[in-house]
Amino acid sequence: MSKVKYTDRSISAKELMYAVASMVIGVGIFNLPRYITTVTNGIDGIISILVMGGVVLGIVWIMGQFIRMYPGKGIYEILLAIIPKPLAFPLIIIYGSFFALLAAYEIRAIAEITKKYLLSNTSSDSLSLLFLLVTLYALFGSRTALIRINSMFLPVVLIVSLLLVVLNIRIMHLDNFYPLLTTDLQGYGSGMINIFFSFTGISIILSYSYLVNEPDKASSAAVKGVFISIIIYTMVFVSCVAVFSNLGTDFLENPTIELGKEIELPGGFFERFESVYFTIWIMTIFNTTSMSIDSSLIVLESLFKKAKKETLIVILSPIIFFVSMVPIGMEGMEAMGTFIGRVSLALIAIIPIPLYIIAKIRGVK
Amino acid sequence: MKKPCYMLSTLLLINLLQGCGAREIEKKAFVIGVGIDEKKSGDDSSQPVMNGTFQVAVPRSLKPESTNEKAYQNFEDEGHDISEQISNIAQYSNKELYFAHNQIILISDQVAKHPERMERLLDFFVRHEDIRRSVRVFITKGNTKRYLNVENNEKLPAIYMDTLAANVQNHSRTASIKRLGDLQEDLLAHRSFVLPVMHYKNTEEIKLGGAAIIKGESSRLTHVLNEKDTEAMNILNGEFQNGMLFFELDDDLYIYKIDKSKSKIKLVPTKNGQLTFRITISVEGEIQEVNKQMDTRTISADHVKKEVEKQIAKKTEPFIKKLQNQYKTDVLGLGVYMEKHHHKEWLKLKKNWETGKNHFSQVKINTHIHTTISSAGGLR
Repeated sequence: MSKVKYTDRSISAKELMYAVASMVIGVGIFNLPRYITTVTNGIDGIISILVMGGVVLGIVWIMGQFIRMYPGKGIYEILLAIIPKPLAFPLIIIYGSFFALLAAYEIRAIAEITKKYLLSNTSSDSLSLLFLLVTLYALFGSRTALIRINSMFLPVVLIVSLLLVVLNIRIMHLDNFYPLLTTDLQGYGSGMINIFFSFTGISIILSYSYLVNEPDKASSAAVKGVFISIIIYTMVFVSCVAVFSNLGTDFLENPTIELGKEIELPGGFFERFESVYFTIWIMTIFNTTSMSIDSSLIVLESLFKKAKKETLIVILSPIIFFVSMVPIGMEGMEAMGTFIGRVSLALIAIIPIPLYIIAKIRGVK
Repeated sequence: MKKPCYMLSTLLLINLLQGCGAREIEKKAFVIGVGIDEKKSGDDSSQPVMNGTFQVAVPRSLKPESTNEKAYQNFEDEGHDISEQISNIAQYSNKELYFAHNQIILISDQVAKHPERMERLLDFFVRHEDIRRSVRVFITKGNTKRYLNVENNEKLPAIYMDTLAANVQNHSRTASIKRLGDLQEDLLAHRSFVLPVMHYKNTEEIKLGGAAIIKGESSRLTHVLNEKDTEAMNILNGEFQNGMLFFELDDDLYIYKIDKSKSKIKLVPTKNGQLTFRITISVEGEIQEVNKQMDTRTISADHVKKEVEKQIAKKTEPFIKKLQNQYKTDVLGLGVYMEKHHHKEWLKLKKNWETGKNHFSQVKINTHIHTTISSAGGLR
């Protein structure tokens, strides 16, 4: 095992891969199966996941190409190199605030879920605040360290996701997969749009573009990272349908959590598998949230070059906390989630494509 | 080698992070069984009043040295729904009812007979975050209260009933055990299904046998199958596990024990548009006992096999007729099969499957039986 050089200020392609995979898997996974089963029949939703996954792989590849074209440059610098400042400036502002909004949503969502399943007597406000404070602790430290945490957490997440599927095999009914291919095109389409929210995290590679020390490998590393998350999503979706049936999944608020609850192992310790499982999901969401806030910070740093990182964190974090308190109740959260999903579709899925074309035409200077 | 070690230690360390947390164990009353009965009352509300019995384990009397104390306590109160009953109980119980370890839900047949009643009552259990979807659901003949007071070697009545259901040798004479989660899926899809039935014998015993048919369209209990019909249904559904067939052959009494049973439904294409299904039943088992004179040899396996097939047909055919003409309820999964494998045709049939035109009663059902004799014990 090679020793990690902690003084290293850059990240390798492999670390980028871990970061992308961890970032992509966020709170979206808790209700991802439901978002798909509402619009599809049987196991058909798998097509939506795979097609959307393919599209996302394409987008991620394009994003990786930006890094190759402009090695060592930050996202704002890349934008300025491609499009004029009057266009780049609002775009970068939207990008920065989008990630602050995403972080706010993640914080609130994890607080609500923790309150619901683990700590029913604690208010969600204090849970959000605590979670935010922990992420801030990570943010005050070194940026590369924050990215490297992913390499530690991701294998654990993968093992637990695998256990989630394997331990449920006993109660799976393969009959639930039928009827096959009865969904109409519109269903597949809305399924794809619904799951894009779960892929929002991919743009992390643009945020960290200036840190990557192997720009040529960035595309393939990012593609691999997304591939991991596609596999996990597919696995979770298929097991949810196999265990709860399509209709049953549709009626569950958080099918993935219920899947964890279904596991019953002999012996007192593991009887409640979901608590182990929860701890691990909170770890990935910690990664997602801290990297989201970090993305906003990177934008702020590129705009206010003289300001210290600590000052920016102190200014930004209360705003994120207040935004996370805005949605009222279950419906508010659902609306916020949908809003973020739609914005991310425009910002992350669509905008990089014309940018790439412009960059190609203008050529790298 | 180092890498897996690191990973393993991380995993183990993570386990320490969890814990019972804010749940103070002494302040919780662990519910292990729930019974729901009907209550007659002069309430003017359109919703009928129910009587809920919640069996709570008393951990300190489960210790071997204390013998006289009851190991359980039944809380009971009335209310329109479960939450109302729980809030009533909270007025005289010093502990909060905690459902995470609940094992069984009993529903009296009186309650289940009301349309959609069961569905509404079970909402609490599928909605509540603490309750697992693996809770077993049973129908009881008469009030559930009696069942939750049955005392024998097993100190907790709820655990007695739960382990009674786990004794698989009984499975051929009762409907297979239903998990709450599966029940919810059936109710959501408006499918007809069966639940196992419990019969009260005396203060120490409960008998598990038969099947309660819950009709999908109104989600209420319509008929209770006797054990013989339940056996036939289990054979047809491929769920006849560890059951036995008794029959007479050449003046000797034979006992054929079924170890494995499978069934497969297939739609057979016909010219005149008559829906015809073929149910292929395959059973595998052994000859467990032959009541004959010791010095005669066991007859050829083929001979016995034919007789087994005949016996199975004798059981299933009248049952199919009864199901189609008398009960008019599809518990054989033909509708489910159509929905899953012939979706387009099913959309046309769906509305009038069990009601109205009643397509289910008019379909033709052929059965094909395959038997295998895996062993005849130690004798020839």
